[in-house]
Amino acid sequence: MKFPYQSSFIIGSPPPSFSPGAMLRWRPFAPVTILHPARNTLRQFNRALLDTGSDQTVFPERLLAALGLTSISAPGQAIVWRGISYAMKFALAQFVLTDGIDEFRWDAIVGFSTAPIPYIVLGQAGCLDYFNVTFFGEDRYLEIHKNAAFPGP
Amino acid sequence: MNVQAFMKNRNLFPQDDLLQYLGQWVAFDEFGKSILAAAVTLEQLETTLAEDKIDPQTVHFEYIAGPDDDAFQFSPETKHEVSLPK
Repeated sequence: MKFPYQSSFIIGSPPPSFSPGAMLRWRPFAPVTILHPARNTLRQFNRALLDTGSDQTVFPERLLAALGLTSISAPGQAIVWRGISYAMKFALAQFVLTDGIDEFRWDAIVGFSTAPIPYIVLGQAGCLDYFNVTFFGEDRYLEIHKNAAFPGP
Repeated sequence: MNVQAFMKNRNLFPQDDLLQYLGQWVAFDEFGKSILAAAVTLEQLETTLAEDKIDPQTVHFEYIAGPDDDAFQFSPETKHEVSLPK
């Protein structure tokens, strides 16, 4: 399954490390759907960052209520975003990655936070542990395959 | 839902038309051709969708990075807050 990188604006001058005159920055995002494992409730996000540097998979906390997910007690768990610590909750949910041809669907316990992260974070626990991912930087796309740890069909 | 059609349309969405949404969450229609609603927070966006009687399960949420977000971003750091013995 392949996903093209997605762009966002560079506001102001691009940094010297970018191509001169660059107006966009590109990141390895993929669209992801989060569902309640049993009910027919879901939300679709166009930009989920495949973030190999993140220990956790993190969604906005308000989805717990919106989807009717049951929070799992996890006292003391926190996420630090731009220097500020936010409490993190956890819940079992179902996830779908699809390119319109193939589909990966799995259940996992992931994190939920009020941290104002401007995208979904697909980190190691709950997501990347189950996949082998190759990033094609020059051509700006990523290729993802499920591995033996994948917890779905 | 046709993901390929959505992504194609979303990628063709005029960048200039996104400028008015910098720093906001937006809800794209299921085809990626139009923005149905926008708000500063996801909570406000869902409220707006409800007021407009738009099913939030049919839209695609996306945050349009604004000036306050225009910085190099790193992975969030997770931790287990514990009290260490003194």
